[in-house]
Amino acid sequence: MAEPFAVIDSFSAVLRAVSYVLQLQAAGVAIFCVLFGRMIPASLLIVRRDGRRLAASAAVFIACQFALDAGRMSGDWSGVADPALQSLSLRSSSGLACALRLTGMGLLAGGFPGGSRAVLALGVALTAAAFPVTGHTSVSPLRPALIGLLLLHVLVVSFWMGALWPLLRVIAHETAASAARCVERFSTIALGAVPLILLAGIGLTALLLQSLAQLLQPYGAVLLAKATLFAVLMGLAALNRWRFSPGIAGGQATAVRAFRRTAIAEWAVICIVLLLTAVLTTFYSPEAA
Amino acid sequence: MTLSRIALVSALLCWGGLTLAHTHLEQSIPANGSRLAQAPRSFVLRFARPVHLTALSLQKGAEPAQKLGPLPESAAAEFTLPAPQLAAGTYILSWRSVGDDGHVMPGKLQFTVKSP
Repeated sequence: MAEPFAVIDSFSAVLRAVSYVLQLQAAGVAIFCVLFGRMIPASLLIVRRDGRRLAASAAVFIACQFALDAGRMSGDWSGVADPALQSLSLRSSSGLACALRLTGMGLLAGGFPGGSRAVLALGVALTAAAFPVTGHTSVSPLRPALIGLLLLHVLVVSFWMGALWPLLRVIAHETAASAARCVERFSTIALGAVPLILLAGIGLTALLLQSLAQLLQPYGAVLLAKATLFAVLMGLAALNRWRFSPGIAGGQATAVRAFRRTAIAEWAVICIVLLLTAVLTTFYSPEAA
Repeated sequence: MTLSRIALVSALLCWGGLTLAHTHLEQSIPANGSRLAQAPRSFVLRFARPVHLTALSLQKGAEPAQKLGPLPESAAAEFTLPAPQLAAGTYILSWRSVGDDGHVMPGKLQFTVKSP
């Protein structure tokens, strides 16, 4: 029979999606500050302030989503107030992941104002480390390989997604020459790093799915949707790299506007991908694919 | 700290605490879709790996679902739980379980009792 998912499962998936967006965005802003902080004197404080707010918001959503886990265990809202189920949730791998995420967000929220690179890096590391602790990766016999691929996947997505809003701040507040240098350097790193998302994704899929036929089942279909959106993202990123970045360096207002639109579109598509990821991790399993 | 160092630290941090488990139902008594001459005295759920059984309910036709319990507190691969007295009719037994991967897995099966 089909699995009986409840309203609380859908609510949890939405909270999980928002939580993914905020925590990866906050971690990405931290990576951006570590990599490019010295190049953006006029906008660094604004970027750090954004990062602190993102980390604090992420912590709230992480806590809310975790609190709902006990409700999901009981299948209705009564579980949220059940001490035995909350205790079980705290002792489970989800509890460990939640603790890692909250500590990571705490370090980021506390580290942004001072700008300590070590604190920000540790916050990013803890945030990323939470992902392989639960789910299919954590129980597979192939987990060493899966953990490596998932960490690579998460860190590069975070780097890419997290840089988009800071880049908009940079373009708005830095001089044209300074902004162009920053965009140029980001694009150069992204060009080498972003294909790793696809490679890691293919590796994860190959290790988790047992046959190509499973791609036609719900779990595989959501994976294919993610891959399709990734192709759209690569197109948008290529536009920014090859068409608009040179225009920004030349001080063209049209190029700046086009870059801004494309960056927002990239960010929106990444959010949709993260929503699909939340749906995938809440409702589906590769075993049941 | 470089990205590769961050990845290395993350991998080391999450290496502990990983255990092996899957949460799918392998077998049940009564089986899904079965038609029983007599009402079952107990329900048996056998999973591929040990899980925590966190919810169990029984619904007859369009009547409201009835929660069954108390449920075992410890994890196990097989659960045998006493069934309430059942009248003739079609029932849906629903459950939720949590494995070591932290995933909440819902499941249900349907059976028909021809006579109590």
